[in-house]
Formats: sequence, structure tokens, C-alpha cells
Amino acid sequence: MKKIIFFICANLFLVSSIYVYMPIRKAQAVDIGLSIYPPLVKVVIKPGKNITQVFKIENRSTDTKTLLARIIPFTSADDFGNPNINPGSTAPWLGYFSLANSKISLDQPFELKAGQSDQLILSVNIPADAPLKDLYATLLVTSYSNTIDTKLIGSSVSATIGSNLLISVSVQGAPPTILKIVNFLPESGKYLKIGDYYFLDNITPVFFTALAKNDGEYTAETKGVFKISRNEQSPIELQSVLPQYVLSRSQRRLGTLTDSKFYFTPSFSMIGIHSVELDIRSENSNASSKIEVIFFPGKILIGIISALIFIRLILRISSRTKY
Amino acid sequence: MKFSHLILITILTLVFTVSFSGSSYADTLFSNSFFINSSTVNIGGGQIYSPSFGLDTTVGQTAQGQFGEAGFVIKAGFQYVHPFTPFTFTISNLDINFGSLVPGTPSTATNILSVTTGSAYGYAVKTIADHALRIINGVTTIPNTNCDLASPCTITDASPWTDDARYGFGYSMTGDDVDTTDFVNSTYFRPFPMQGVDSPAIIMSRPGIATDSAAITTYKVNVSGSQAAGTYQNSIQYIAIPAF
Repeated sequence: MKKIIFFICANLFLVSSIYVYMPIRKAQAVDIGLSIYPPLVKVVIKPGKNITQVFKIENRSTDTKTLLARIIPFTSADDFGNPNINPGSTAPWLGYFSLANSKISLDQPFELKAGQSDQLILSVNIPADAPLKDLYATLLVTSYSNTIDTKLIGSSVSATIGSNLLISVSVQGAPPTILKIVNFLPESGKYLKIGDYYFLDNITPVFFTALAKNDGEYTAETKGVFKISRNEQSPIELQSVLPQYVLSRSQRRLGTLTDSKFYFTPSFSMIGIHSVELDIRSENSNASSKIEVIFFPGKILIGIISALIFIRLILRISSRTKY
Repeated sequence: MKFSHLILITILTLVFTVSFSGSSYADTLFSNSFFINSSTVNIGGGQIYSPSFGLDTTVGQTAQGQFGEAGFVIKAGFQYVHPFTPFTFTISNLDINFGSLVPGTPSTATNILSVTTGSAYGYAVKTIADHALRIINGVTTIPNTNCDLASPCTITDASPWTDDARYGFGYSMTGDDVDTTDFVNSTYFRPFPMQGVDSPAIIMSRPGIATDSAAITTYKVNVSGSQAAGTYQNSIQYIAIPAF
């Protein structure tokens, strides 16, 4: 009897040990992770020339994925640099693009194992008679499947990742652009405008917004500075404008590395007329804009007036109660 | 005026001034004590010109000199492989399986979308479906949702979908970089745009750097008692594109 009890106990211990210490393989949902580098390429190229650009694609999924690479044109979707793409769209100049890989072609599926990466060698051949203009395209890499599990009641999900190509077909290294700064204003609701002057409180943080508008035929760049100064003296505030691309015939919000605005906290001593300037200078883009602001102690004055009214009220009430 | 009055005025002035002050931006990095020179924060990248072409690289690269050092010409036309962070997109679950559908009882399923912009500056994730949920080897579909009758939704405008007598298929979004003015709460849904008919709809976006921004997509289907029995399927594509 003791042997039987010992045997059962030993077996229970063994089984429980297996459950506790052995790694249990859990059922996992199928997932996908894709990465691409570089996410943006800007090229200026002469007609009749060609270049190649390597894109690194990585499969960060837990299993092998079948992928499909293709090129589609895009346009500017908004003021924040997002492309407006439609997977079904096409353009006659898409024929300029091809992959120089030996085993991978555009619009043909290829496999990439879990955790592995591959290079897509994109070749851009510009014909000698190609029109001089900008070409905006996105290299899309899509997880590809031509069948859906017949047991699935619902949706089969696929992932697409992209990298943008800004190609200027030009005979000049820095093709000309027509860049303007428009809608350069302090934060809405925080200023009073009289004539050309913006009145701002001198102890309230404020931000300025502006748009760069490109009326030219080629992509412009927004390298430059945001500057606040008084009496043309050395700047009180100097911020770097985030270098971004403004597509032909589009506009883009200017900002810094941290935001699409220019934040400024004035100091207590800042009273009077100040110049707020935006100056864009790059190889092919020059634009500047200036507004005059008057910092004044608005909140302090309101505080003093309120305090005086309050004191006067107290004095009047206290004098009445005496008599 | 007595001295005590002057002190009182001063105190009250401070109190009222502080009361009238608006919100402050404590998290901004700018001050009057320093400035950033444009040439040191140059994420626009460097440029190379030859008689035949010029080439700029990724916005986000910070070391312009690497072009020359890496030897662009030596790589026989290949630009050097940048040692910077890639643009990454992940989806947690590729099979949105509702199982058996019960008429008048909505079924839901979720997955998670994550984006890291890496060396890109800003991004958008868009979605599009190939068609409505459609029976295998047939033409019968579960229609795309119009949400509640009182406030119909569209492919770009989410609206509440709480009425179990309203049938269809749609999705809701919550999490990072989701437009909360559109997807106000978990009852707000949209129908999927259809390939060949609509353009992809933006579901996540950020005009700056994103590190592992994650959002949950909730899929919801509700069928009527007259819906034909069968297995209904479609394909949904999520497109993650960096800003240019």
C-alpha cells in the first residue's frame, strides 16, 4: 500500500514539475512587422541619366512573409507632408522605375523569412526626352496572400509599408522654386491687432504659426531660422526651422523639431515693439516674412486695476460700517 | 494711503495677475537663455552633386559628412546603407475571426497597430478593404455599417453605433495618434472604404516623431435574422507611409 501511495505521489510531483518548469507553448495570433529604410529619398537628376537606390526591408514577424513591392504616384495630402496615395493609381512615368535585384521584381511576390532583411535595389532611368518636372512616387511593400483561410469568418488583414521618392528631373543641380511664407501669425485668440501691429501680453507664452507655399515647379526645402529681435539688434530668440520638403504647387506648415509651431515665452521685461521674422534659405529656396508685435503688461495692468477696485470696495464698505 | 494698503495692493496685484494668466508650456524646450543654430540641427540631410545628378538623403539624418566618407561613387551608384532607425509598422493579429455570428448580437474583435517613424518625420496609417464582408463563392454581402440612424457615419466620419437593430460591418479606433475628435469614444464607428470606389481613409497620423505609437482597432459586425448563412470574408489593408 505504501508503495502505491509513494508511486502516485511521485507521479503527481513529476507531472506538476513538468507543468511548472517546462515552457508551455501558447497559441499565438498571426502577426506582422515590417520596416523600411530609408523612408525618404530626394533625387535631382538630369534627363538621360540613371541612379540606383538601395532600400532595406526587414521582416520583423514571427514567420516567413510573402511580400510584393510596387511603385505608385502620390500627391500632397495636407500641410503636414503626408502623401495622398491610392494603391490603384498609376502614371506614365512609372516605367522609369525597376528593381535591379536578381530575384525580386516590381509587382512580383517574393519571400522574406522571419527576422531577416533584404535589399530592394531601385533603379531610376530617366529617358533623354523626359519632361523637366518633379515626380513623386512611393515604394510600397505589401504583405501578400492570394488565399484566405476558408475557416475564417471575418477579415484577413495585410500590412503595407512605404518609402517616398521625390525626384526632380532637371538640368540644374538646384532647380529653381518660388517659395513664399504665408499666414505668419501669433496664436489665435492671444493677440489684439491694430493696424499692422499685433499686441501680445508680455508674461503669457505664445506660439506663432506659418505656412511655406511653393508656387514653383520643383520641390523646395525649408531650412532657415525663426527670430525675435528688438530694434534690429541681436536676436532675443532664435529657433531653427525644421528642414522639410514642400512639393511643387503645395504648401507646408513650418515648425521646429518638436512641433509644427514656434513657441515663445516672453520675459517680464519685454515691453515694446519687437520684430518676429521667418527666414528660409536653401540652395533653391529663399523666402522671408516679418511681423511687428508689441509686448505689453496686459495681465499685470488688469491685475493692478482689479486690485485697486477691490481695495476701494473694501475701504468703502469698511468706512460705511464705521458710521 | 497707509503702508498696509500698499502691501495689500501688491499682494492683490500678484493674485489677480496670476489668476488671469493662462496655461504655461512647461514642456517646451525653448528659452531665452539658449538658442539652436540651424546648422547644428539639420535633419534635412546632405546633398551630393555631380555633373549628371544630385542626391539628398533621408530627412532625419544628422551627419551630412557621411556621404563623402562612405564613398557614394565607390559603391558604384549605390547609395550607402544608412545606419539609422528604419520606419517600422506592426500589426498584432492578421486574422480577424468573429466565429459564429448571432443575429442582432454584435460580434467584435480587435488588433493593435504600431508605428515607429525612425528617421522619418511624421506618418499616416490608412486603411482600405477589397470589398464588403462577402460569402465565399457567392455575391451575398454583409453591408458596411451606416452606424445609428440618428447620426449616420461615413468612411471619414465616425458616429455612434449602439443600436443592435442596425446591421453591418465597421471599425473603431482608440489609442495613440488617433483623431479623438472623430473617434470620440468606443461607440464611434466608421465603415471601411472600398477598393476601386473610395480612397484609403486615415486612421492614425502624427506630424512628428513617433516611437512605438500604438492604436487598437475594434472590428464590429452585426447581422439581421434574414442574413444568409455561410462564411463571410474580406481583406483589409493597412498602409503606413512616412511623411516626406
